Amino acid sequence: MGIVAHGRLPGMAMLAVISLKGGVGKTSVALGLAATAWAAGHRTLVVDLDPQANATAALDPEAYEFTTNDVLADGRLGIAEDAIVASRWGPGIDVIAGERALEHRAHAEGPDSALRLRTTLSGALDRYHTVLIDCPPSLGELTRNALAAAPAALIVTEPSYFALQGAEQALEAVEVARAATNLGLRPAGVVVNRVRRSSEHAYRLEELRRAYPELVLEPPIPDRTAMAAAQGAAVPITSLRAPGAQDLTRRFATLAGHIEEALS
Amino acid sequence: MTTPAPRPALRKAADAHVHPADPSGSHRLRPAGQTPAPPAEPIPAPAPTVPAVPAPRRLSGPLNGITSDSLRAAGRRGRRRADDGKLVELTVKLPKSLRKEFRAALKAQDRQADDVLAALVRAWLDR
Repeated sequence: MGIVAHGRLPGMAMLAVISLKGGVGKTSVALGLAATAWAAGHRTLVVDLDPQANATAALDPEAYEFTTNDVLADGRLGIAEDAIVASRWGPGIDVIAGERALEHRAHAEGPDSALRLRTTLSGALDRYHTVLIDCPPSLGELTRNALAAAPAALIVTEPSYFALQGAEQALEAVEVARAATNLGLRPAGVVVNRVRRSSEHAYRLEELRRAYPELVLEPPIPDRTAMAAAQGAAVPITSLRAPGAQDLTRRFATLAGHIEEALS
Repeated sequence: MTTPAPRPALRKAADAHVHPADPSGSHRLRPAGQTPAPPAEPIPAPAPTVPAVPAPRRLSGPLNGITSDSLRAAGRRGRRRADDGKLVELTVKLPKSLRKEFRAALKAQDRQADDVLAALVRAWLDR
């Protein structure tokens, strides 16, 4: 993954991973890409903006005191640095943890409310090649903060009718956020996740490809138990040797390459 | 060049320990970082109101109810007087047509005029 973003490390990629529909596996995709970047030797940071804090649970940081809720409530320039902790996955991958209290930040709090994450991350990301912001599945102030902070938004969906609508709304949100808070923002693409072998999924997948021929990223990510196993064990998917996990690892690596191409 | 003052460290958000479902944790009403307002006094449960004492429904006699069922329930054999007290006469004047209709209905339903009228008077008094 590599784009020049906000004057940080050359080749640094920063992605807001969004979905306006819950249950499409947004966090799984964020973690899969984080594992891929980390396995490739990229210093990686995951910013957990979801009050469900599933990414935090999967990255399993050691004792931590501060979360994205504290960072956004504080709002000072670069203060996010104080909340970065190491993931137990191993050296080279860090996290700013999420927590349930993030719900308190889901509403606008003053005129600069949507710019707090960008302000607090400023100067705190210099040592990272890859930064992934895991957003909640809604278009509240938390997602607006992510879209104001990141140069690119990755939309996650699944091949279902409702998810298709969610993807469409997410792309609209990216356009609105670009005009409102982040002129450099652009869609990195649409990842189709949790694909199963069914005629309905095949139909919806083709529908997505027809609707967004330049945005749907290949390959789609199949619905595999290996992902849940990796998250349950708090280990990166790249570390598992099961055939399903190996397949997912290959797919995420290809996907990361396509995201890099899309943003270059 | 002077050395810049060290930046104060990050602190926990004032609402970090407030459950999102708790309305007192809402930040729409105050700027971030401000100490959350103390929880509002819980709304006391309304004091139990003493219900108005309803007029006692008279259930002792078969015809003391006000429904048609109670009238219907009193057959000839099970019939008792509407009141255990002394029975007295009450002379009323009705239109002839109404009396004719009343008598026909009493015959058809096997009722006694005294019982029906006593029930009607009681219902009217208890209304």
